[in-house]
Parts: sequence; structure tokens; C-alpha cells
Amino acid sequence: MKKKAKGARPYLGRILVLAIYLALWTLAYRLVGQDILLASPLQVVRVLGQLVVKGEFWQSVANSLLRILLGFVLAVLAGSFLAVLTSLVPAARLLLSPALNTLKATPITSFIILALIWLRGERVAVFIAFLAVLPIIWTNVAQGIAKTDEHLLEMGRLFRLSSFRIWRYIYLPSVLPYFLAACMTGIGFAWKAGIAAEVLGLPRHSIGQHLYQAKIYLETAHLLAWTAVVVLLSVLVEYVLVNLLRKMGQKYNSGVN
Amino acid sequence: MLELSRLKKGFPQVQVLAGFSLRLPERGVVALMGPSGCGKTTLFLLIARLLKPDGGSIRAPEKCSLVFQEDRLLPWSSVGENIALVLNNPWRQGHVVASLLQKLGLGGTENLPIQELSGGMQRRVALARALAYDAPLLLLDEPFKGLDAATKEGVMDIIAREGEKKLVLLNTHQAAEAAALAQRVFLLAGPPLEIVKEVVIAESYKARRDNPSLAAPYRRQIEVLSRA
Repeated sequence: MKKKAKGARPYLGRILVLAIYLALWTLAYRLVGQDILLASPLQVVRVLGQLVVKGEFWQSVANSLLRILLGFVLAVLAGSFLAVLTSLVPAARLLLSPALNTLKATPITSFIILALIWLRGERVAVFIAFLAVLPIIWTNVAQGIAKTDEHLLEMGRLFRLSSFRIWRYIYLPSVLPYFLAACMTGIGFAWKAGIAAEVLGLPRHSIGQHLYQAKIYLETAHLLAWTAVVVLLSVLVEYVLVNLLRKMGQKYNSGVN
Repeated sequence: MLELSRLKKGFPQVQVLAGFSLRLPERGVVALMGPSGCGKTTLFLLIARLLKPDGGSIRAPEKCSLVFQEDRLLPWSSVGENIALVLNNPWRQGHVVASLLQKLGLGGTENLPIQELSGGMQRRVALARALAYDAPLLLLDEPFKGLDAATKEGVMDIIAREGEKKLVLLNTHQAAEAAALAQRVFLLAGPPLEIVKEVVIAESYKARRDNPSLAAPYRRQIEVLSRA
């Protein structure tokens, strides 16, 4: 933020980097020489321009976005709950840690295929985004709880603080940095896994369906245009989330900034 | 009233207490002096019930306040929040916090973040928190650490006044602090912790403060004894 004082320099740098990548892309396009294998930046921009004026484009974006965000939010809630539960109750930890480890080790594709058998197309993306994020939140929040300063907890016991105060004033601020880091990592995972689930589940009017169709018809420019949309949305969602969480962090006066 | 009898406590590497006994009355300031690592802090944690003894018994008030060797303040909270943390009556919180801070020379710092305070100021916030928690027993583990001379005097006044109402146990390395503040000074050695010598000081805190030459002989006596 404070770098603004230095003038337009950082923007200049970014534009230069962008130009280099576009030049490399164009060069690759020329070398390949086949539109089916690689489209040029110009073609992709043209396709994007055609897409954004259609209502169906925005409907697809909204559908995919809502599904993935729903999966993400559910995972944040469930992951935090499970982290607290397994940290507090040794029996729960014993019972649930194999589940957590299985969840972490299983390739997300296996879950997608299973979910395709169990669920309707549009629910698969929600479920997969949920499964991708759940272990991240769970692990990180549990780690935050475990790393809470033992000295402060002892102080809390000495002054006979209520459980509410111990959680609100000691655990919550200690866990918050871990939680925020997990959310930022998690949203990226939710996004990638959710789109992958859509490509395989093909719910109507979704980003995944468009990606799949572009592949079927060998429309490389469309494929890249939709990929660009996914990347842009991912950056945008992360940006909004980071700012939202930062505000929350300040409200709970944690050391996060 | 505090009664410790034949207390035992061991850690894997060291037996800190091997049958330690001590009886103290309901009121007064008692100083414990001894080399680092002799077991004073462990003794405090046992009295505060933050550690369980391996053997022996402790008769101590249910509620007990403690200034830890480290400040143990919430780094993410303000000065006022750190003190109000141990207060339960929301109506009186503001008043209690403000008057304690005033007494400790920290008036008006309620809303400052803890991390903006100097080490000596943080020490006083830890002290204010311990005083805010109204308990019949007050344990102070090196409470003057990081305080300058002028502040120290003010804090001593406060501790002496607490000693009129309750039992105050003071861990210190400074003979001068013990000689100026305490009614009884125990010279300790260990581990295992043991009482080597007791020095009883007849003059009141006030008399010693008004006439420092009264404390000087005790200070010398303690220094000689603790060197032996």
C-alpha cells in the first residue's frame, strides 16, 4: 500500500512482465503454427469479448462460483468444528484422525468419480470443493490450537477464567493466523477441485461444462479463454476473501495485519 | 494461612522438592531468597495448584493470585483488556482497572496495545492484573524485574499495603528488596529446596521506608548469609 509513494514504477514492472509473457505466448503460437494446438493471445481476447456479452456466460460463472463458495464455506465451518472437537476430546481424535489422513492422501479425482456415482451433477462440485478444503482447515486450526502458548493457558487456569474467556481471549487470537492462512490456501484448492468436478460432472450452465465442450470441439481459443476466466475469478475471490478476513482479524484484535 | 508439609515434587532430571515444609500466617510479606533454579518457582506453581505435588500436602486458600516470572500478558489485547480479563463484575471493571493503573503510574494507558509498552510497563500491567484478582494469597515471582528505582518504590508501597490484608510471598534475588519490604526472609538452597536460615525483621515497612538506615543491617545480614 505504502509503495504508492514511489510513483508508477511497480505498475511499469508488472506491465513489462505481462508483455514478456504475451510475447513468449505469441512466439510459441507462431512456432506451433496450428490453431488447434495453441491459440494466440489475440484469438483468446476475441473469444473472451464474444463471451462476456452473453447472458449465458454470466449465468455459468455465477453457478460455478456459488457452488464452489458454498463448498468452501461448509468446509470452513465443518473443518473448524472438527478441529476443536479433535483437540478437546482425545477419543474423537483417535476416532477421526484415520479419516483425516485418508482424506488427505486420497487423490481428489477418486472422490470426484465416487461423487459422480452418488450425487447429481451440480452437487458434485459443491461436495468436491468441500472435500478439498476440509482437511486444510481442519489440520491448520488443530495445529493453531496445539500451538497456543501454554504459559497463557496456565495463566487462564490460575485466574479461573471461564471457558468462554479462554476461547475468546486466548485460543481464538492464537488460532486466527493459522485459520486465515488455511482459508487463503483453501480457496485456491476449492476453486481448482470444483472446476475439475464440473468438467467431469458436466452440470448445465457451468464453467466446467464450457471447458469440456471446448475440449470436445477442439476449440483451443475457447479453452484458453475459459481458463483465463477461471484464473481471473480465482484471483478476484482470493482478493475479496483476504480483505474480508483481514477486517475480521482486526475486529478480534489478533496480531494479524 | 499457608501450610506446606513434606511436599515432594520431581521432574525427570531433578528432584526439586524432597519433603519441604513451611507454615505461614494469614497476613504479612514474606520474602524467599535463593539462587536461580533452587525450586522457588516450582514451589509457587504448586501453591497455585498449577502443578500437582508427588507427595505431601498443601493447605492454601482456594483462590490465589500470582505474578509469573514472565509477564504472560495477552499480546493481542490492550492494557485495559488484560486486566479486565480477571474481573467478573462488568459494572465495576472500568473503575477497578483505571484506579489500579493510576496507582501503578500507568494512568490513561487503558487503550494502548500491550506490545507498545516498554518491558517495565508490561511488568506493572502484570502486577495490576494480579492485584485486580482479589485473592487472600498473592505470590510474586521477581515482581521488580525491569523496574527503575523510582517505580520500584511506588510498587513496594503497594505490595506492603497488600501485606496488611493478605499473605504475600515474594521471590527475589535482591537482598535490598527483601530487607526493605518483608517481615520475614527465608534464605533457601536447592534443589532439593530447603530453608537454610530465617531472618525476622522487627521494624515495620513504614519505619524502614522513612528511615532507610533501619533496613541496612538486615540487608548486610542477608547478603552475608546468602553468600555462605
